[in-house]
Amino acid sequence: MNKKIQKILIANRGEIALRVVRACRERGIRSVAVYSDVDRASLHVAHADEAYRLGPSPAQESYLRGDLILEIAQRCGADAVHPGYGFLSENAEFSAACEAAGVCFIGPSASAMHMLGSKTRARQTADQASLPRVPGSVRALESLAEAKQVAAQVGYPIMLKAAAGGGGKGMRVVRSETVLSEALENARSEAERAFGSGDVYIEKLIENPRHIEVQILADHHGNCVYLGERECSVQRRHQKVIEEAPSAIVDPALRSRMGEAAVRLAQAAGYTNAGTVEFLVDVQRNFYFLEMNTRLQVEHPVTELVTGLDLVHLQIQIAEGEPLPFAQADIHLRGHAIECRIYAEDPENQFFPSPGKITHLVQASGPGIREDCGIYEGWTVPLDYDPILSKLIAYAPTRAMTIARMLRALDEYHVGGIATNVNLFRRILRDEGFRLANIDTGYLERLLAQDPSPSDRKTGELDSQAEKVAVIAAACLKKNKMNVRISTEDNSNAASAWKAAARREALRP
Amino acid sequence: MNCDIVLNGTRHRISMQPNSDGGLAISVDGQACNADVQWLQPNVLSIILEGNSYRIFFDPHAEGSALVLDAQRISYEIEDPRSLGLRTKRNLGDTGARSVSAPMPGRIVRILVQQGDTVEVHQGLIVMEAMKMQNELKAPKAGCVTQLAVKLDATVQAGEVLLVIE
Repeated sequence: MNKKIQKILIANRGEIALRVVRACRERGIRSVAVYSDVDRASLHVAHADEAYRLGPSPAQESYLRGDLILEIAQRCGADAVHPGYGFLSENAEFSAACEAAGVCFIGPSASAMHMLGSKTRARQTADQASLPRVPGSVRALESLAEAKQVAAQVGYPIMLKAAAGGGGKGMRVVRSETVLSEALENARSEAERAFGSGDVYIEKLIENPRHIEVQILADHHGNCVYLGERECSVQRRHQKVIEEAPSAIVDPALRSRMGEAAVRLAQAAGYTNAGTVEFLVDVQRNFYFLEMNTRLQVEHPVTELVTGLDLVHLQIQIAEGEPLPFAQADIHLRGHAIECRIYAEDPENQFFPSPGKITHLVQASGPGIREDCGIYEGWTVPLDYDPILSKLIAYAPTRAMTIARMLRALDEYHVGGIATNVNLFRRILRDEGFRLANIDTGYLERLLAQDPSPSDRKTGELDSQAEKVAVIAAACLKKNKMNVRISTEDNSNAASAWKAAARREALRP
Repeated sequence: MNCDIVLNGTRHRISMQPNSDGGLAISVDGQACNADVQWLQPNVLSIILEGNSYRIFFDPHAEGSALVLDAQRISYEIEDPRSLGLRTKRNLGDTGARSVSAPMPGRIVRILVQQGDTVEVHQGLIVMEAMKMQNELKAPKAGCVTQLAVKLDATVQAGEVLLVIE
């Protein structure tokens, strides 16, 4: 099946679509963007070689329309589809439809996706591949009685999880049997609404675990390698906020045990292309299989930086039928990388999303800084999709230097017109707990519950010089506006008494 | 230009006047500042204050007035002393002491009041000469001149307090 791909349709939007467009350009492959009405002016559309309209803005009518996307792919002669992350990326039916239409899906086969996509089936596959997993059920709960029995077996507290879940939806922590029935009902209805399936299962709750995941790559020739881990414990409401590679608590021995487990799982499922095996790691550094993400992850750049590899290039090469160009022994980690997910949301206002026009954008650059970004000055952030604006990634020889570098980059960065979470990253990166890598999945919620420390200076604690600067700046803006007013009036022929009066007023010292 | 800027609940009086080298003489709260200001872009300002460099962003579309300095969002209010509405409002409720400071560097050419005099709002107090122009400084409020800090012919810096009315 060795066949060079000539044209790739990217069934996504925003920074990840642009990421794939760039890889296509580097490989001499034509790129095809698709867009919803609100994304006509988006960056991925302007950067791609070809672009086709999908439909109205809601994802259901655009980026989730697999039928339409496949039709466009065939019409424009794309021989492959890259799904990015989110949207159709883990949709086995879409993958199968591509296969059936003779369009290469850059990702795993529908059957591998099917085996790993559902969390309950993934747990069964993990058992086959003898991976340690979080204790609990491996099938959807059929009744409250069954739930009670499983919960009693593993012991409270437990977690109810949607089999089709993701992003924290359909999840409930249950600390005692008295609330199990209600929690089960809630989790089921939430899962039904979010994923179209009310299947829910039980996992024992691991208290304050770390979330550490292993990147794997598998080709069509039976080769599978792991590319080290990513530490993704800094989360808010089960959404990752900061990711880094490598993890501060993973030593070479643990890395190879986790990596080999991830490879066993991928091979048991006949997995191909890039994938991520997520684990929970407890305080004794025992690891438990959590789930597998059968796609490229948002946080893939940190792995790219510490391995020196380009995962999107490799995804394309694998899809073309090439064997992996390296073996496990060739993979070496070097340095440390941290990624901050910059979102259009306001940490000072309960993390409310803040769509709107970006009136000003100053991006960070310089040594060791990479930005995977889908925004530009003057662009309006739509309210229809995920609020991710950009991923700022710092790379340096050590973790401490990477933190310093990221703080420096955040100082340079400025987004005007909308609220962003940039200042949240400063707070985390300055926090002693984070600097000591004392992090787990509850870390960020605990930090946010505290008052900001004096180092997270607030307006009330400006030093006197900064206060003076602010006063001067405010006056300069006012003065500037006055000058603009005067010059506009000077250019106007239709001078009125009002304007003349205003001008006299403005010119008076 | 003179105005009052309220920041974190504190009122600051700022004066900005062209100086003889074509730059700006800036004083804040009566203190002359060694500050250099330069617009980089329509809403980006660079200020060098006593050798320290700052970059300030403005968001023209934000509600209210705010700027971003050192990644901190700072809200402020501007009160223009020329704005009659504000001045009247302020004078109605203002019973404390108010100082009158030099809006620009210059020379005191006339003093129209004595210490202890009672003055009306807008009454002329001091005439200053700067850049060959004479400017009459008026009382910001009615009251008693409790302090007269300058002498005739004195040279003053921008922002220097000239007298206090209580």
